[in-house]
Amino acid sequence: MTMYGTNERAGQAQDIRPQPRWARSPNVLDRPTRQGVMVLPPEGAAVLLTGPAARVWEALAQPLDRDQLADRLARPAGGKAGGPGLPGVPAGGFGGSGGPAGGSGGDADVADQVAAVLGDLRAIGAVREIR
Amino acid sequence: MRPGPVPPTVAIASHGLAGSRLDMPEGPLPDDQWAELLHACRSQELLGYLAGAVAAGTLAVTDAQADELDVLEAESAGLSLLVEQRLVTLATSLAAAGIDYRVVDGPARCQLGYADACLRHFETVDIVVEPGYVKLATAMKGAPGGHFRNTHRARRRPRIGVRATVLPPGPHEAIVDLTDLAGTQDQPDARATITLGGHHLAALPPEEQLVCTAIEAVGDRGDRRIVLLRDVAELTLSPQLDAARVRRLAEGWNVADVVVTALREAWWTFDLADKTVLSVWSERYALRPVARGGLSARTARTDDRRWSVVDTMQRLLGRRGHSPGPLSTVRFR
Repeated sequence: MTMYGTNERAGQAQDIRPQPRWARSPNVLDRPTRQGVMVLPPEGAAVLLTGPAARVWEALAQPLDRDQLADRLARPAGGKAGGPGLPGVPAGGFGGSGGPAGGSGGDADVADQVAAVLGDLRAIGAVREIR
Repeated sequence: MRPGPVPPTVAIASHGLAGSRLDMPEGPLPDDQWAELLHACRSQELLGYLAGAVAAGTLAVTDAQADELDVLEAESAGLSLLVEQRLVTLATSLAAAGIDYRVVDGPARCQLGYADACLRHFETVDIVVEPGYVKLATAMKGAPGGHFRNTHRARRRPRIGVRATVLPPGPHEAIVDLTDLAGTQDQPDARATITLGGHHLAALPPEEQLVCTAIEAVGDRGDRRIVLLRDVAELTLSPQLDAARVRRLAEGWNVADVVVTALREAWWTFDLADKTVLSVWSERYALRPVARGGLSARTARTDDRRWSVVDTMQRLLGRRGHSPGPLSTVRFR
């Protein structure tokens, strides 16, 4: 059951609706390449994901909500140099700028980019919302 | 050290291979040489290695060459995914029908044998099924190429080969009882698992893969010779490989000469400095005299039953062999 409303006692409006989580769609095949990640949804053609899209796909190895995704993607690619990460996903910051996102005014940008990427990935059938 | 000049494709195929002492070509290559290298890498399933060498900076390229390579690598990766997609469909159908199968190469090679799966692209995949189900599996597989024809050029379309072959004994003892033949204590139903799009598929374990790849690499190799030798080296150097089991399989299947030959050739081709249990074994192994050369001469025909296994392995891998029996090889291109 979906719950939503405001937290009056906190003195300010606060959306308490549980965020939907996002997951990779079933039967989507993927393959790391030097440029990013190639995905092949059940219907449609193979699509090469690069930059933020590749990182969102990588993060969605486990279902996450948008905030969690944004948090993941605000970190440098791969977590740290030489650290775990999807082989082939280009290192560098979110948005392809070469540095981690975040910082001054970066949170909103990251959230916007996550939303945009999720929209694109859903459009090609690569990801879906789960409750 | 390997004497003489090293062909560029061999140097490219050595990218990322631990212990290889080969040098990359000095780049950026002139456009005509680059075009030649690109063409060779496409036809020999080496685009992944080329892309890896360029990405690692071990082969310098111009911007235009990098752009061209990006396009071809993406196309090749997409083709590999199309192969996997068809494989998942077929494997799911086989499993639903209760037909046992094993994925021999393709994604099984990438996931179980390679430290860096980006490198190994493939345009074909072979699976093995119980002999009695070859025709059924072939029918389930559908027409070669099929509806992927429009996705990529017709001459480069995914293929799935369905082969009746030697499966581990036990539930499959109607095929060939390898345990009885080899006298080994290998697991009777050895299998590995790979995951594609959330589906778990049964695959040959790396040890079986190595033996099969060695046979193919030493046989009629064609365009895939170098990449098969790279597979042999990669599998052999894999830290998870059970070297003793490989030896037992090779000797039990009576293809030790073939495996040794492939190992020696791989070590020489890539000028590998590293020594492993299997590479040392291959150095010390006394090959039988080869009367006529070729794969058939490297396999001993000690008795009919053993020969049938060797013949079956050859047939599994598309080699010669027309012995009677229930096994039949079907391969689609």
